[in-house]
Amino acid sequence: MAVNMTWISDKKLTWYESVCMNVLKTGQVPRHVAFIMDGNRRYAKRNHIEKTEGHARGFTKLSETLKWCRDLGVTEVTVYAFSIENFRRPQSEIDGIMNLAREKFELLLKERDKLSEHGVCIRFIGDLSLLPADIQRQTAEVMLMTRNNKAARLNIAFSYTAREEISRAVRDVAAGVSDGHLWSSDVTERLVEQCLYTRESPRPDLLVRTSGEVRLSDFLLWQTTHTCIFFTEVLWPDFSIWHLFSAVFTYQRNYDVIQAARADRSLRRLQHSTDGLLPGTARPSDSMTRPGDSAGESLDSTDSDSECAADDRVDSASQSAAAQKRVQSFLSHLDAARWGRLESLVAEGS
Amino acid sequence: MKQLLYSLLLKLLHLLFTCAELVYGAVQRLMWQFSRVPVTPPLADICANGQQLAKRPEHLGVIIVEKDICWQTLADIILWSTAYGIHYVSLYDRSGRVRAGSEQQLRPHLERRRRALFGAVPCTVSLMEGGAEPGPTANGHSGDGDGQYHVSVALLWEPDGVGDMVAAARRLCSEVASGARRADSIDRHMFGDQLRAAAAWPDPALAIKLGPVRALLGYLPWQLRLTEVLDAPPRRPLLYRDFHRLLTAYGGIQQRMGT
Repeated sequence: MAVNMTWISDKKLTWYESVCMNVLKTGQVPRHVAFIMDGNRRYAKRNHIEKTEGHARGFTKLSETLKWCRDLGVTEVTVYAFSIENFRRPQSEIDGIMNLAREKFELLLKERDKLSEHGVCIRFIGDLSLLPADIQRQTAEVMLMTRNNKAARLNIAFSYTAREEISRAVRDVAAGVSDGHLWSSDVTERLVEQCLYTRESPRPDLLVRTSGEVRLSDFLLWQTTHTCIFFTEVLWPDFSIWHLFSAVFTYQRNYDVIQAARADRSLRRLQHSTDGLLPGTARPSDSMTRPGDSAGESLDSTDSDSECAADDRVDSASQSAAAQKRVQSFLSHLDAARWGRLESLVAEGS
Repeated sequence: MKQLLYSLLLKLLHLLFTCAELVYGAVQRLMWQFSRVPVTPPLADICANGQQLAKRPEHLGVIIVEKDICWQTLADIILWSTAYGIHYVSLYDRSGRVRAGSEQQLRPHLERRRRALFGAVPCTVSLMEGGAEPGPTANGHSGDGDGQYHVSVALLWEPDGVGDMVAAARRLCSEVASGARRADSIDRHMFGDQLRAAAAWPDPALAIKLGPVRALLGYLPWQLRLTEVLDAPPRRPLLYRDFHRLLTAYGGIQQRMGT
């Protein structure tokens, strides 16, 4: 079977797929879609092929799915490629997955021009220190290579679990307090979120899990509290554009109620902010809606970034200017440290 | 012109789906009205059903994402779980309606349904908010769990989710600031121990979602790591056979734990 050896598929849609896509696009389209790409091994068993071939076909499906998302207007995709828990698999399977990863990440490096042309920024999220050194260097190189691409972002969760992500973010914040960059009173939900691997990204609007499993498996637990979740029985290598259309249609049908819940949440955080009011800061009541306003309208729930903006308003309402300055300085310092580590990795390898 | 046509087509599709859902719902309600309501089996049969399950969750979550709360359903789920030997049940409603209605609504329903199902058999139900100490129980006992049947019920809302994690982060940072703790001592094991919602409870192995919304709306995100999420059928009050089917379906799920 010919394998599609590219991250940027240019496979054309059929006319009826195009029509359906154009119909869907006139409604709400999720800006950020997350995928738990489950079912490669069961697919391999069902089709009497090796597990590594099943994973390879899973990659082909990923490439196709990214194309469909681009065509739909989805600007950010996060995929769960490899969990920290997956290190418990037989060594031969892990070696096979790592070899596949090497091959695909090398391909990313070769497709630099295509990635630039499409403006795709790639980010690997997870505890990359658990990966073989050469793969760490590859991931660092890819992230540095694409950091200035702004049109779309692909987050590849590799050696990732949400609990590791959250506890690491809290550890980073605590280190900031220990080093004197932050005060403990500066700690807010927004600050912790800005220290997660998915910082700067809007929360996923839609989460798709294939293979019939109905759990999140330690994936984006913080980020998906108010995300439309679509579970489907199909195995990942069999995932089709029609399954994606179903997921987006489901998102549209749940859009209003989920947006209302998101807006409600931001409003409640504003009203019950536990950050404490400091002299000279805006009182929460100044930012609350007037009676008769709908929470959705005042928080501009038509924009999927509105939650981030609302979170910023919560923080601004309760933090002093000095606190905001400390937080910004800390985040810049953290960001610089992260990019510095990536640059060191690449420099070591060259 | 094409865009207008596509837009109309999409609106028509959504309208058709909405109509289909309404018609289906109406037909279902009619059928329920005119069909015989299956009788809830006696306690001994329910207990036997529970024993026969391939596996039981230690902690059952109930995520309420529907507009109207059916208090009888919540009371029944608590009591059936008790009969199954499930000792922890968390009820989650993001806006806190369950917490607010626990005295006026939930307790009376619990007491009525407990008398109907358990009769004179001792049954201890401890209601608590978030991670608070257990309060007086529905049957007036002190909740020390010395009856054969006992369950702790956590009444949770949105601040028990991400808010709890942020509060834990703040506490840890205060300890670091005071020198009582090192920042690098924070890992995923110790952070989980800092959370107060359903503190010291096992993670929910199963969550039953009540309502059609395809989202969890903030239910215990940290604890939800490996939770199986199953949708309850729309009928209210929920029938025992539907509860049993959900638990049976859960029993058939195999978790590979990453392997």
